[in-house]
Amino acid sequence: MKSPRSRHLLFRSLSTGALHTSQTAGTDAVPMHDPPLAPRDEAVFLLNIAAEVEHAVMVQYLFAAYSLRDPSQFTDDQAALVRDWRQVIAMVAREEMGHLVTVQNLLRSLGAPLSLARDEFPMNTGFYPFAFRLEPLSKNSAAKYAFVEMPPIAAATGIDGVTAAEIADITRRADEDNTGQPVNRVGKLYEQLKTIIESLPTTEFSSSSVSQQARFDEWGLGQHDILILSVGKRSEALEALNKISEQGEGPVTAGAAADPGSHFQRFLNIYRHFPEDNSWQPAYPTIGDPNVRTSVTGVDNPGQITQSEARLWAQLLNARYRRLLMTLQHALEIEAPAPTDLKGTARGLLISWAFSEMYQLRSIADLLFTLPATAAVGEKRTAGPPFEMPSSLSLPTLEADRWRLQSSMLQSAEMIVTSLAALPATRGADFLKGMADADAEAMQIANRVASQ
Amino acid sequence: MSDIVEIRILPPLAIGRLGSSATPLENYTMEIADPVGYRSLVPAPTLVVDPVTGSVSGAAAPASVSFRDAQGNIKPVCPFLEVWMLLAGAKTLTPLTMQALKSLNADEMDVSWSVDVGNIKAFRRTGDPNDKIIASIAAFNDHGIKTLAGQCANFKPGKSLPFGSVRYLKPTAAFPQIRLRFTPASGKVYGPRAGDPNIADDVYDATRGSWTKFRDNDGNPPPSRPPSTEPGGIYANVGGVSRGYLDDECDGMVQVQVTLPGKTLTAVARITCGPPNFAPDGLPIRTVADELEQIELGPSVLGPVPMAEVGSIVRRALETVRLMNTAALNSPSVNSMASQDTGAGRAAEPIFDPSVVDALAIRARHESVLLALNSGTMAWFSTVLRRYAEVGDLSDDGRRKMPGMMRGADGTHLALTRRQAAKIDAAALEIAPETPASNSSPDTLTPTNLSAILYHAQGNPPVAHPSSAISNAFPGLEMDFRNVWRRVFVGIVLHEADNFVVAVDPNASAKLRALIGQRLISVNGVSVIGVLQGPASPRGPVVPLPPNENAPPNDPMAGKTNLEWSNCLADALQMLGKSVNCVFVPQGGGKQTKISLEVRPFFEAGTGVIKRELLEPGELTQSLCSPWQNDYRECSCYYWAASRPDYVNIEARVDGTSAGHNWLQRDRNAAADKVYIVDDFADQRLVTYEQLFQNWEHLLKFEIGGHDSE
Repeated sequence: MKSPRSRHLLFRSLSTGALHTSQTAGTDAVPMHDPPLAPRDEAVFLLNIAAEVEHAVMVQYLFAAYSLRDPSQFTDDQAALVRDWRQVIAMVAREEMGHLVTVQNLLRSLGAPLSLARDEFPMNTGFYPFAFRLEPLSKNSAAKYAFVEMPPIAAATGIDGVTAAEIADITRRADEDNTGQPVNRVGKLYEQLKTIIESLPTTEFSSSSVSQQARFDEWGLGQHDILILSVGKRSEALEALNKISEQGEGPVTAGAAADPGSHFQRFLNIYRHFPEDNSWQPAYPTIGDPNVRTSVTGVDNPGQITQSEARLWAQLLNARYRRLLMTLQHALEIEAPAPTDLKGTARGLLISWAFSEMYQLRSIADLLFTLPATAAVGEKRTAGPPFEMPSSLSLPTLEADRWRLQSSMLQSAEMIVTSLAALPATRGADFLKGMADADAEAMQIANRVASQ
Repeated sequence: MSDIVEIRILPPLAIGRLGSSATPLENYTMEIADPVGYRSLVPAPTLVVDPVTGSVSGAAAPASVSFRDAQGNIKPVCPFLEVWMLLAGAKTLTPLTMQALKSLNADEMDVSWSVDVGNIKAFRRTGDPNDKIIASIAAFNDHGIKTLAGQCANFKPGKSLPFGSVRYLKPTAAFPQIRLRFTPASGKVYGPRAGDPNIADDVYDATRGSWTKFRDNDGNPPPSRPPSTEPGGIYANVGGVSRGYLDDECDGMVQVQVTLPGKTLTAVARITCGPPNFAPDGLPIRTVADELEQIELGPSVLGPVPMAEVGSIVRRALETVRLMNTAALNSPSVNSMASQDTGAGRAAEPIFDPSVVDALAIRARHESVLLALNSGTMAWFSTVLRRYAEVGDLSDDGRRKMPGMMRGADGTHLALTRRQAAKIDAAALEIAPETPASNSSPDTLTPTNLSAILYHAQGNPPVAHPSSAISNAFPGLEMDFRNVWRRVFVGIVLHEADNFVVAVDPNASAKLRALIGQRLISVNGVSVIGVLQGPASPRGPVVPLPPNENAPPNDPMAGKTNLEWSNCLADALQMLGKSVNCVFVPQGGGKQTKISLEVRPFFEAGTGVIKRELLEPGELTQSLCSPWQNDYRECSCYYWAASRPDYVNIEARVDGTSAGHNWLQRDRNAAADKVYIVDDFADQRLVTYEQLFQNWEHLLKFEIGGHDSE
């Protein structure tokens, strides 16, 4: 069943006016709400879609990056490749995070709520660049990522020796990895957004909201590849959309794609060097689409993690993921201090907590890839980070209650940590202890602030 | 027993710490029970010396660790120095003991010691050799307490300045190793004027010496006046004119001589002393041990690095930053790196976004990095490190690199040693498996510089070791390590903190003499200066920063900064005994001089002792504050927070930000909303200069777990 958001999504062909339920039905189709909305309303709807796409793509790239094995297992040449691939894909994931955060700023500037929701395993509406799959990196998935970043075929031919045959292979593999569906380009979404934004009066954009928006100086860690742009006026909204689509869509010109640092070339390099013959295994043999849903008898759930330790770690990852999303929202609800203000606000602490969750997600993900997915004898598949969405992303209205939620989330994580610590031999015992200690400190602070 | 072919004193560099208690600080270890929390101080076997006999009477661990005695006096750190021997044909050192001497037809009376220490802080400023305060004890072999009485030609008749004492400990059957113990002084201030409540004794004769008239940046200094220290003006003064105060810190050398039938063997070590480490459950981010390791092993790291080594660096960053009021220090309106940068022409702006700098936020961030590191995920961290040649980058990106808000030995933003950075870079690629514990017995040691550098003597608490001594020296606490570089090139003497030649050897050639006053700009093609860049206006573009308006015309340093010697000479230090190509340029610009200079060997071979030729007694501490207590009040950059805390008693306010106290503030209100008083040198709500001079020992608190303790 489609989510409420997807149910209202249609694609209108610019040339014929025909409506489609999928973008794949027409290359000139633009997304829209069904029924049509007032311009600001439509813009907010499409920004919600954009947020969902960025979020989903980011999670998939993270999974792919984390799925690469520890380089120390390989020869020097192979290790260098694996390190580079992990870095490339993680970099792209960080860029997607930047896009997600900038989209939140766009929403904020229009006076709309933040949007961090995404469908868990959405149907392929044709809106996502590719179907949502949490899969280890493979030659096919590398081809898929390269295809998304590729300029138009005619322009791509010749870049770095790319031939028509190679493009055909990339395309075939990308579609194969995308369960037979063609891989899309998300540029249309941002083009439509720009069209609508251009039509909005300047008064629709709030400059006073900037003090609550995410700032590069808060989140970017000095990495200017990560686009986190403040939006206080219409021109800034358009600039943000231009930059996101430029970075995320891939090059529209051969010249840009020819840059060795372009996403296209970097993913092309992964595709080219990824072993086809299984002579070596860069990625863990991870269970596809891992999850910790409790299976119902008779309901097929091939990705279910059932090995006890792995299941607990996967649940803990979900708990940290939940806290990351909630803390990000909470941070953006608190006004940032003025540049000359010696006295800060709780926003900084929440930002630090959000980063802490990001680091912990990575640490737990790395650990999950070393654990068996099930307890079946001879199980060769490993577990992986499920990145399952929490049951709710609603933030309490009152500030004190938001801190109570912080405390609750930490307590919930603590329950899982306690279960893990009780296992006879848990991997990552030191990490678990450190996490527990940091959480205890955070809980103390949260309780104190909640007491206001 | 085989013949003894060499002897050593270990450790090669021992740090004493001031305190007036008659009871030395007991031994303890620092244990990490909590992966991201404070270290635990665990009592450890403590060598107790019988005051009458001078022998070690026991080695039990005390019930608890306490830094003060029952009267509230601070227990001094009195390090032991052990004598080790290398037997003929042996590959490892073993302790030199009574039994070993007996087996070679010698005994403890055939061991004699001599000590030469000095406090030449006044001399460093005035240039008057009569201002040197030196204590020398010629060879002694008895076990009595030997007072180190500092003598000075410019003292009043009959006056001396006590630097503490040394004692050759009597070996016994239970504790047979040959040992010396250094007991530092109490931490008093001395001066010229009788009746001055700030001083313990009026030792200095103002009618003879010029220390009481000294002023930095004197418009008309005498020709013999050395160039100013950096920072300058770091002496007790009134309106810039020295009060003539001196402290009882010292540094120098101890030598042991063992006379055996047919030969005499000698060994040396260095001692120094400084104030207590007031946050003893942490260690500084960059220490003298890090420097010594880089000098010995070089700036590069080959292959994977064990996580423990990288974790140590990150943990020490946490241990420093959690005692800093990062929100206050982020602002250019207080004495901070942000305000210091305006002196280079950079626009006055906060270093970090004010949103993210509250102490709670910063601590949480560092803890999470440490935690992630412990689980083996590090690749991105090396990208946020500041490299030593980048210290002149005062752009937002440059100033926000790590370590943040701290000052380095070149006066600009701190960089780690290149070796520390290389370890982090290596860890980003791969982590090495933990090295299994050494199979050698605790009574054996390989005779290498590194094993000596790392050595902890029995009974010495961690704060006696160079790993506890600050080395991002500007100027430092236990020592100003920059002084070791002054004579690194044979024939010339460099300024310890700037890139010009201040003197040459007495027998120097004309070519070398012509270098006096010139600036060294490169060594073997590697620049020793960095470019200053940053926004000249708020939110402006990054541009080369303009030269100081007081700079001479054609100044080769215009828009540039000297780079700290430790890092920019790290490659040259691998050419010990060999020549390197140095390029000098006059201060007013002009023709460069290219000259080949020999790199002086740094250590006495196999010992880890900094060679005598590099540092005379008193030179390791000469550019520190005089008295050191002065620095505690006025150097409010607080980048030594792991030793000299800034922000203490921190807790969360109900608004989610931190509340706490300035370590120096006298009113430690326990109210829910604590107030941190920002220092401005004059605020009387903080411990005053006079109070520090008179009573620092009882006013300053030890911080354990970030909170007031003893």
